[in-house]
Amino acid sequence: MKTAIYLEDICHAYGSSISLRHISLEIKAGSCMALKGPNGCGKSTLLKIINGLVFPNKGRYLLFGEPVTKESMKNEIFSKKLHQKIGYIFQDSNAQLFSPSVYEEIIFGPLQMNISQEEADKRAKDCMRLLQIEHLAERAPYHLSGGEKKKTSIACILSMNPEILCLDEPIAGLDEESQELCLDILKGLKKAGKTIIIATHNNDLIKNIADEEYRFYSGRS
Amino acid sequence: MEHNIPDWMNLHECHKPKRDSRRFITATLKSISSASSLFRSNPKAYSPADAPVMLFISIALIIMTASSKNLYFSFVMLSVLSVRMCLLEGKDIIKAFLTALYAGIFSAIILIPSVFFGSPHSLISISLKTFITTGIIQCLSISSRWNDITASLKMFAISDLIIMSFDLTLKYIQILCSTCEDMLNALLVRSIGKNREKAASLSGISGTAFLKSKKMSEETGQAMECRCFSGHYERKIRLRHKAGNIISIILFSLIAAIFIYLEFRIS
Repeated sequence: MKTAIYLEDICHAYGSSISLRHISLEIKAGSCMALKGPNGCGKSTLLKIINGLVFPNKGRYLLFGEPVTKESMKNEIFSKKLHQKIGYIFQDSNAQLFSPSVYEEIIFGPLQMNISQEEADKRAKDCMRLLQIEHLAERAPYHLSGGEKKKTSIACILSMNPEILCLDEPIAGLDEESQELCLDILKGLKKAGKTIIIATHNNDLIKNIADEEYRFYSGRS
Repeated sequence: MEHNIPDWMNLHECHKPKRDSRRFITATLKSISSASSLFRSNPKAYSPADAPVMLFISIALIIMTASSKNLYFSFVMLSVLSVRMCLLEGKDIIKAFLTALYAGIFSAIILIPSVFFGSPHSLISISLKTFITTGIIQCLSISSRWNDITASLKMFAISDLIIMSFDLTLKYIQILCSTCEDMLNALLVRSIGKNREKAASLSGISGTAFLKSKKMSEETGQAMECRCFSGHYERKIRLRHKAGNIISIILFSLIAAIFIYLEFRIS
């Protein structure tokens, strides 16, 4: 199994407040890694670093062997490829949804890929069916319930078919049935060879899906 | 329950992105971050005196500078401001100086016609006063925490409700800036090709931010009702730097004396 993500001695601070200290980890392609730790320990920051939204003050990050740095992310093609390869589901679904309807939200990504309108439409419909949100297609994302927003945000990332999925508290705020649905989908994605990184407090989710667990202790692994 | 994922999800995606400037996202992100940092509580606030004292001195100095008819006093204030700016950190000196300089240059440009109408003196004195007053405000906002400044308004007999409105405004500006930053990041990570509707994406973000602000204000109102809010909002003024306060007041008295001397003796 080749290495999808390699992080070496990653340190990060927001101003004077240190968020990550000497984090080193290797995530194999097709595996599932769970990031576990108390609130404010830096899990979301690490996911943002993996997505090239935040850059470490120190350390090295390789994505499929290619270094990801502030300079490399300035290259438009490289950064777009990275964002297609890594799908990031934010902790706060409100922050992820900006289109006027759920359908437009989900089709936003596929429309920017070099695929036909029909294919993009098929992808959007498939994702809605998978997440059981077909009935919400015309609704405005902002007015949905917390669980529905979460499912919409998962659907709009899945429609881009990323190789790596970064999920920040993916089942927080979902009812039991929706949690089971999400878990089932994640298992299917893992079977399809996707690399999954989950930041969560949920032990059941970790037990059911994670191959490895990485524990954080207030900014330190 | 079995949920089969679609076939295309099993395939490896070979995405070749098209070139399309994302400057509209990055530029908006940058401007929101800078707006947000303006209002963010400054953890390294290093004012030599407490906020109420600094606020009083700053307001008094601005009034004196604006009302002075004597150019010598403007030069005195310019040297005082230079010394005050030197007490800031390097990065902050540049920020304060450049902001004041831009304001000064802007007022000079507006006043250019006055030169042709026989009042070239106004161009120098008003531009100089704009530079000084903007510099004083910059020094105050950089070296004092915004929350301490709003609490100090109590000293000027401003009602609790107005102070509370200021506090809530400051808080929600930060929250909304951070929401907009997150939404722009979400747009950035999903802008993986050519976005033909850039304006629509940005208007979606501003629309969501507007709805969020409306919802937050309603929720704050409801939370206040639940906590039996009766219009009483007390912020206490705490004085910590005793020596700094005394030295600042002595220096201010000296400047006030110079102002009185120059205004009433010489002119």
